[in-house]
Order: sequence, then C-alpha cells, then structure tokens
Amino acid sequence: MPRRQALRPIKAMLSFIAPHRKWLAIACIISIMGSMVSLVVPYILRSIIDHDIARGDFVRFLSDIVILTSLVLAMWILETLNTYVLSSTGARLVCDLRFKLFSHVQNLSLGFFSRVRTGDIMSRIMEDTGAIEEVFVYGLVAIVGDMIAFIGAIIMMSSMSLELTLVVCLVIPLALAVCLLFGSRFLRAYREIRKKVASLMIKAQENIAGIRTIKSYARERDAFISFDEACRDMMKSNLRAAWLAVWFWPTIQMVRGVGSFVVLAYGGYLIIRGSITLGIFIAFLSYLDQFYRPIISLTWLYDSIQRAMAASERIDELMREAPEVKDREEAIELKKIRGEVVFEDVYFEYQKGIPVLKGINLKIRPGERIGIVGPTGSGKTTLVLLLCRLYDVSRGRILIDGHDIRDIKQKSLRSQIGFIPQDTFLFPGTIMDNIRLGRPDASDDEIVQVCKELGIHEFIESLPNGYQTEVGEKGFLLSAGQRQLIAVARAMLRRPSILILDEALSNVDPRTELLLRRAIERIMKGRTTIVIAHRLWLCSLCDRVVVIDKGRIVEEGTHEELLRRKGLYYELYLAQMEKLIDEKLLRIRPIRPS
Amino acid sequence: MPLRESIKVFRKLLPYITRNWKWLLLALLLMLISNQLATLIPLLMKRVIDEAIANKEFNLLIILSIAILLLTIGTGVLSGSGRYLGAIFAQRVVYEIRLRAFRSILSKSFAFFDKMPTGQIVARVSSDVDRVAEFLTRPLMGFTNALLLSVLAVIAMLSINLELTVVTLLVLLPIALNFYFYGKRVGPLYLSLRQQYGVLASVINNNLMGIRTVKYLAVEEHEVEKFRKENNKWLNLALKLFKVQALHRPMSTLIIGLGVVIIITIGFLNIVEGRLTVGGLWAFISYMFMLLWPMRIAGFFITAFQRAMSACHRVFTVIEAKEDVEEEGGLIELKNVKGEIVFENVWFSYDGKHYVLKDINLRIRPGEKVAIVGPTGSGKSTLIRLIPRFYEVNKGRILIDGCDIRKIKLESLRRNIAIVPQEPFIFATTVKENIAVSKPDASMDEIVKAAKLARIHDFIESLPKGYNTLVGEYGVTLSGGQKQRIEIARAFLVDPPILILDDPTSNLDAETEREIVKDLRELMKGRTTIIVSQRLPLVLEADRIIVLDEGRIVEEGTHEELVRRKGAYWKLFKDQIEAYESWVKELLIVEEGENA
Repeated sequence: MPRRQALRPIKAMLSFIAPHRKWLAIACIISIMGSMVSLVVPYILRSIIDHDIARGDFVRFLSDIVILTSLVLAMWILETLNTYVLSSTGARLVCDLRFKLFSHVQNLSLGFFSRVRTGDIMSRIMEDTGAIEEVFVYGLVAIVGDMIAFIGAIIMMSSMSLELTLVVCLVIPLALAVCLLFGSRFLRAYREIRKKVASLMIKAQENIAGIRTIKSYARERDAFISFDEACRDMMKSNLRAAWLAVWFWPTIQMVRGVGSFVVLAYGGYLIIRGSITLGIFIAFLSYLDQFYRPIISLTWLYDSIQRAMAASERIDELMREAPEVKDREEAIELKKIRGEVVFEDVYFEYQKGIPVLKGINLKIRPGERIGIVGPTGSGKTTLVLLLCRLYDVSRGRILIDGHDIRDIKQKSLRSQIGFIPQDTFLFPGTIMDNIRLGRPDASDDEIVQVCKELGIHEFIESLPNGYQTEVGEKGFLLSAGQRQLIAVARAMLRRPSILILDEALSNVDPRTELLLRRAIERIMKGRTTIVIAHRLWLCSLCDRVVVIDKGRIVEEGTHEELLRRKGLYYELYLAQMEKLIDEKLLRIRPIRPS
Repeated sequence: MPLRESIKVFRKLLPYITRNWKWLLLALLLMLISNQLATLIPLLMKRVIDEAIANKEFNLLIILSIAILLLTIGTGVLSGSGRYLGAIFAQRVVYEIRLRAFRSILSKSFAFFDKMPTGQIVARVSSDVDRVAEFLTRPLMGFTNALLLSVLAVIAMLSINLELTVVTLLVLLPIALNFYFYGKRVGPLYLSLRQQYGVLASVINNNLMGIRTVKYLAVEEHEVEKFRKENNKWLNLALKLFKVQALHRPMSTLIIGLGVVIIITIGFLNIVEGRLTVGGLWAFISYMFMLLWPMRIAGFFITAFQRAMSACHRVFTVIEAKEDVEEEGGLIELKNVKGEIVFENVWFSYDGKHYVLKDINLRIRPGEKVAIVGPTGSGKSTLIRLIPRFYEVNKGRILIDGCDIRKIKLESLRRNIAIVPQEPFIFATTVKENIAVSKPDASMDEIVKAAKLARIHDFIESLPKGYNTLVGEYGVTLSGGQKQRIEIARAFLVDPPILILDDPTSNLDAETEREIVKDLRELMKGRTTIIVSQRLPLVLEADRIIVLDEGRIVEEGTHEELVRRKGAYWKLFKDQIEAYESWVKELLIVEEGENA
C-alpha cells in the first residue's frame, strides 16, 4: 500500500476525534496522573521496609502510612474521574459521529442510494462508529496510561538502581517480540471467527426464512446437514484461536518469569554485595508488573486497532461522498407559481454512454393535464424524477415558470410539487404521522380537512384506530391501494402547483380503486398534472397524451386522436387489453345473477 | 430473570455439560495444578527475602530464582493448556445445543413459525447460543478457577499468619459486595441501552428504505431531527450507565488500597514484635492481589450467569416448544398416488379453543381441480395446510387414496404434494439451486426441463452466468412474476400427483397475473389441484368451487351455478366480476375505434 493511502485512515480517525480533543486530553492527563501516583506507591513501600521497619521508627511509619492512604484516595478519585470522562467522551464521540454521518447521508442524491446497499450504509453509521469509540476510549487511552506507567517505572527504577534497571530492561525486546508474534496471529484468528459467525447467521437466516419451502418439499435433512457444516466450521475456527492462547500464555509467563528471575537473582546478588537495600529490591519487584501490562494490552488491542482503522476508512469514504444534486449559491426561493413546465432538449443518462432520455422537448401549460405513456423502460418515470430534480439533467434544461430548476433551491422546488409514486412507502407510525410527512408543520385539523376534501376521511375513520392506526413496518398492514391513498393525501397537504402521478401497477381491490379514482380526480383540479398512466381511464382524463419510446417522444395528442392514429399508443392499448382479458374471463360476460 | 429461574435453566444445561465432563475435568485439573504452582511463588519469594538475602546465601538465591522462573513458565503452560481444554469443552457443549435447537426447529409445525418471527428464531440459534458459549469459556471456567485459587491462597496465607489472613479476608468482602451491587444496578441499564440502540438502528433502516420518499417530499430536516432525538436519548442512557460504572468500578482500587495500608500497619506491628518477617509481609501483599481477581470475578460471575441463563432460556424455549408434528409407528410409504383427497369431519383449532375449521367434509376426486374461496379468516388457508400435515387436525381425519395421512411417513407425504405459495421464497444461492430446492439430486436436464415448462428458461439463459447466476449478484433481482415462476419450476421438478396453490397471484399486477395463470394451467394438467385464491382469474380455472365461511362449507358448485345463486360467492366476487366487465366494455370501445 502506498504510504499516503496507508495514512488516510489515521488522518480520518484524527479528524473524527478532533472535536473531542479537549476531553480526550483531559482524560489523558488524568490517566497520566493516575499512573504517576501509582508509581509513588512502591517508593513509599521501600521507605517503610528500609527505614521504618529496619529501624522500628514508629513516627516515620505513621507519616508514611498517611501518605500511602492519601495516595490510595488520590488513585481512587483519579480512576473514578478517568472512567467517567473516558466513557462519556466515547459516547459523545460516537453519538456525534453517527449524527454527522446520518445528516450527511440525508443530503446525498438518489444516485448514491441506488448504487450503495442499505445494509452497507447502516453498518457504517452504527457499527463502524462503535469500533472507533472502542479503540479510542478503551484502547488508546489505556495504552497511553500503560506506556506512561512503563516509562515512569523505568525512571523510578533508575533512580534507585541504574545497574539493576539496565538488566531488567533486557526483558523489553523479549516483550516486543511476543507482541509482534502473537498480535497478527490473534488478529487473523478473530477475523476468521467473525467470518464464520456471519456465515452461520446467514445459513440460519436462510433456512428459517425459507422453512415453509423446505418443509413443503420435506428437505429438512439437507438443511440440517448444511447447518451442521457451518456449526463445525465455527467450532474449528474457535478452537484454532484457543490453540493460539495455549502458546500465548506460557510465552507471556516466560517473559514475566525472566523478569522476576533477573530481579531476584541479580537483585539478590546486589543486596548481598551491599549495593542496594532490601526496600529497593521489593520496590523493583512491584514495578515489574508495569512491564507486562503494555504488552498484554497491545496484543489484545491489535485486533481492535485494525478494525478501527478499517472502520474509519469506511466512514471517511461515506463522508467524502458528495451530493450530485446541489443547490447553487445564488439559488432562489419560488413564490406561488402558475405551474408552467418546459423540457428543453433534455438528455439524461444514469450510466455514462447509455442515454435514457434523448432530446425531450415538451411544453406544459399551467393547469394542463398531460398523460405519459410508453413501454416498460422507455424513460417515463425518469422524466418526472428529473422534474423533481432528484437527478440533474445531463444536457438541456427544465424550466418552471421560466426558471431553470437548477436555479431554484431544492426544498423550495419540491415543496411546489406533489408526487404520488408507484409504490408508496409508509414509515412505521400512525396514518396521521404518515400523511403529515407531506408538510411536517401541518396541524391535525388540516390533515383531517385534506382527507375530507379527498373523500377518504370515512375510509380512514373506518380503520381500527382511525387516524391513529399504526401502519406497521413498511406499511404492511395496508394494501398497496390504501397506501397510495395516503400518498395522495400527503401530496394534497402540500397544496402543490404541480402534480405528478405515477400510477400503481399492482392489483387494487375495486372498492379502493373507486376511492383512489375519486381522490385523484379531486386533487388534479386546477393543477398542472403529469400522469404516468397504465390504465386507460386516466388517459381519457388528460388534455393531452405523450407517448415515449426509447427515450424519445414519438406521439402526441388526445386519447381519441391517438387511438385513431393507430400508432404505438394504439398498439400498447390493444396489447394491454388482450393481456387483461383472455378467453376464460370472457365466460363471465353473459352470466348475471337473475 | 430471578436467580432461582436462572438456576432452573442451568439445570437443563447440565446434561450437555455432564456429557462432556471429561474435557471440563481435565481443564479444571490443569488449572488447579497451575494455581497450586502459582501460590507457591510468593512462598519462594519469602524465602528469597528472609533466607537467601538475609543470610547472604548466593547459591540458595540462584536456586530459588530458577525455581521461580520455572514455576512461572509452568503455570503459563498449564493454564494455557487448561484454557484450550476449556475451549474444547465449551465449543462441544455449544455445538450440541445448537444442533439440538436447529433440529427441533426443523421438526416444528407451522404453528411455531406463525408465532415467532424469523429474526427471533435466528437470534436463538446464533447469538443466544454464542452467549452461552462465552459464559462457558470465560465466566464459568474463570470463576471455578478463581474459586480454587482463592482456597489455595487462603491456605497458604494461614500457614504464614492467622491474624493477617482474617484481616485480608475482611478487607476483600466489601469488594465482592460492591461488584454484586454494581451488577445489579448496571443490568437493567445495559438492557435499556441496547434497546435504544435497536430503536436507533430501525430509524436509520426505515429512513434508508424510504429514502426516495424522504427525497421527493424534501423532509430531510424532519428525518434528521427524528434521528437526533433518538440519538440523544441513547447518549443520555449511556451517560447514566457510565456514571454507575464510574461510581462502582474504581471502588475496588480504594478498598484494596486501604486493605494494603491496613495489612502493612498490622504487619509492621507484627514485624516489630518479631512475629512476622519482611518476606512474609511481601507474600501477604502478593496473596491479596491474587485474591482481588476472584473477588472481581465473583461479582461479574453473577451478572454473567444471569445474562447467559436468560439467553439459554430463550434457546431452550425453542427446543422445548411443543409444536412438533409427531410421527406415529407403522409408517406407510406412498406409492403411485392417484390423488384422491378426502376430509372426514375435520375440526381444527390453533389454540384449542376457537375452531377455525368446523366439521369439514370434502371429497376431491383424482385429477379434479377444486377452488376454495371465502372471506379473510374463513379458514381456507388453514384447510390446505392440513393436507401436508403442517398442522395436525384436532378431530376427524384426512385421507389420501384412502390412507389416513397420519399413518403416512411425513417425508413420503410431502414429496407427493407441491405447493405454490402466496409469497415465493428465493434463497440467496444460484438460480439452479433455487429450482432444485424441491429435488436437490435433480440432473441439469431435469432442471432445464422444469424451467422451460415454467417459462423462465429464456430469462435464466439471459443472465450473466445462466443457471449458475447467484440471485442478488450483479444486481440480479427477480420480479414477483419471476419468483413465482421459480416456485412453479420447483413444482414441475418434483412432478407430484397433488398440487396446492396457496393464493399465488395475489401479490402480482394484473398483467403478470394473467401470465402466471397460464403457466399454472400447464402445471395443473393431470394433477389433483386445490386452489385457494381471492382472485377471480385463478378461481375460474377450477372444476368446482367450495365457499367457506367461518370454518364451514357454505356453498359448492361451478362458477356459473354460484353466480346465479347470488349467495356468498356472488358477494365475494361481485366487485371483481364488475371490474372485468368494465374492462370488457373498454375493449369494445377499442373495437369500435377500430371499426370507425
């Protein structure tokens, strides 16, 4: 990996923690103070052993004990502060980062969302931020503390006996070697386990979600065998990691053992020779522990550091994603508009080199109703998405009341347009909440008023809890047609000047269809309307029908004119009719109840 | 969960533990020896200080130092291997539980899956079992180990000085108490924090699923505000938790520190009076730190135990749920099924109280096509699910070719029946394997043949890797109609004498519906077919229509007969019939347009 690229995650990570540097610095200072206090403890111990006990000096002993007690109290207070400052800073950091990511994602354009999977964005906002918190709060500061303690121990030890310190320091390369040797191995082993956990989850998910299929064909045994395999795989990778531990612990103990051995043998020799006191010897023994702590934590943190690096790279990637559709600086707010829409030589391509719209020229007068018809994939829906500026045109321009839509603030533009999409998405919550999404500041009364105007008030009241009925996850409790009624109400709430209707494809039960028909006829009144029509009654409501094929306008005229012309429109119409009615259905014609 | 409940759950776990007792015993044995060695080290240290150094015996010093080095390494080797054996133990136990749970899930009737959402079941065989594994590896082994270690340490301490031992133990007691209360306070906080995390995740998830809506309504700010609120709620909960943590955790530093001060003071007095040596005091301080760890673990162990047992409880409820369809003795294999199905006085209830089907009598001749219609909740879906024994009848019986289905081997019964469901299920694997779900040993020729019959072959061939394309790969997604065709191909592949259509067209658009009905017509040829549908085009395919209402058969006859009768059937389908008539009228307008 080139160096600059390798540095990028680190840079990114630093930029994430920058806003919290004050608190992190405080945490570091507290942590350093804590380490220093704990370093003084063995020093006092030495004084007690060498001086107080050896000479039976009771007064000095009492003062030493008081010092020791106050050191313990100081350690306790510092640790309490440290624990709280660290974890609360971590929580603030993760909370802040999550919020930044989420708001950033809200500003991205539709193109981004069709490119990137939902689960991917999700895990970046939720899990990756957590990984950074973990390493910063629990990892890095702990290491800083351990390191300070380590360095402090060396300083204190040198001040007591330089000779013994030098000998003890021989352990350091040994410790580093252990860290390097095991760190990457543990990293790999844990990665493997995580992968196996994920694949076990997927296997279980698949088999349980598809259980009805499996049981229908009595294929339980096959499912069981494949699940068993996944379980075995997971067990194996777990045991592989455990096997590493078999080697890790003796090695760590060996480093530890060598450390004590050196202090005991050489230190003992020095005492016998008379170069150090017994107190120094014991102080050395208690400092020794500070030597292994950084090793152990580094080895364990190796994995989380790597994960945090990967996480911050992924977060950074998301942050760098720039919205494709942007407000210009001099963008204007639209006042009440007449609703004239002009497409001027509009070209559009989702992917470079594959134009979806080729030179669309279309002028829609204020209050006019335009039907757009065409085969699947002809570019009908794209046309209206461009009008909402969910994408920017590749060439040409779109004008509303003479303003290029790129000169209008997105929010202002969209608030003028009521869009009723093919498939209405409902958020979990009540019907009231969902309608209110059309204009978040609307009052309950306004919403009821709008529903009455549309003639759907009785329908909503007939639901179990009226307007307060929960729609359930993704609106599953309502049929597609009922969901579309909600979308009409949402659009009406905005009192838009321009209305776009992308007619639903799925089956709508006749009663809902009637409601829908009435609501749509009412909302269209007095508004510039663009209808992407699949059913013909909608086209007959339009002043003009435009037929699009392969990204171009091929026919234009009223419903009757076009039928008479016997071009593409007529063909589409006929084909649709034939598909709808086959010979069996015709059987029902002569039968009426007597 | 109260402790008593946790212990009850643990008792259920015991058989799995005892079955692997050898590994556990070996692991504990190694740890015991390792602990024994570890408690020897401070005693040797004492000798270093009191004998070797005090008497300036250099040889003894070297011997003792080497002994300490070897002991230290020895404890590492032993505890490392002990950990490994412990891991083997835990992994084996968990493997058995997981398989047991999965096996019992597979044997459940549909009633079980109706009640419990997929995500829940998945969590039980994956993360809940993982939590049990974690408990068995760390807290359980750790706690047992710590218990042994503390016993050994106390014995060693007693051998040095009784008074100091008692003091040490008194000092350590508050630490254990502190951890216990900490665990008690922190548990519910953890739970609500995790719940809030879930809320946050679902806010993001819903926002991303509905991002188009958010965009065209331009309500991004509204969404950001919603997220901010939940995010802040999470932060406040986290801060509350951390406050409790900060108050309790460092407490042990305080107690242990004060303990050391007390021991040194008492030790000082003892040394002055000559009842204790400096080395002895040092050994005591070492033991004290050795005991700190078991205390800490004891506090955590209780919370870990509670948490693991509530996970374990969730796993066992799956294993123990009584939703199994029992196989009786004297199992019959079905051969050359003609396809006659008879319902004899069949009663069925999901909960044992309210009957969904009441005294159903129905005879379906081999090769006959019967449609079952009725309002929502009339019991029509239940009726067909009884045939493959997805549920067990409460009273009466169902016969296939004169044989009670409860006497037929479950596998044999189900392989003679194909079901095209309302919601087709596509596995995240290749198209080929998706079709072969119904018959995993099918040859490629058979699969292609089935795909051709289901009229999806050409589409599959157009995919980047043909039959080997992974669904979901290269953005390959299947439309509702294509998914349903895969289901139809699955049915063609097994070529069963009995076919059940469980409202397969209700989620399709009108055009696709007509196409799928044509395909289904091919599939129905020569098979006894039971159709449940709310859609007229499919109902019209039947030779006979049965109308169910509130669990009883209320009408029976052909479409023409039932329409003329103007009864329940007419009420059900009136709107659809009229809608089709209006379409026919529109067609006539076109015809007129053509003539003009």
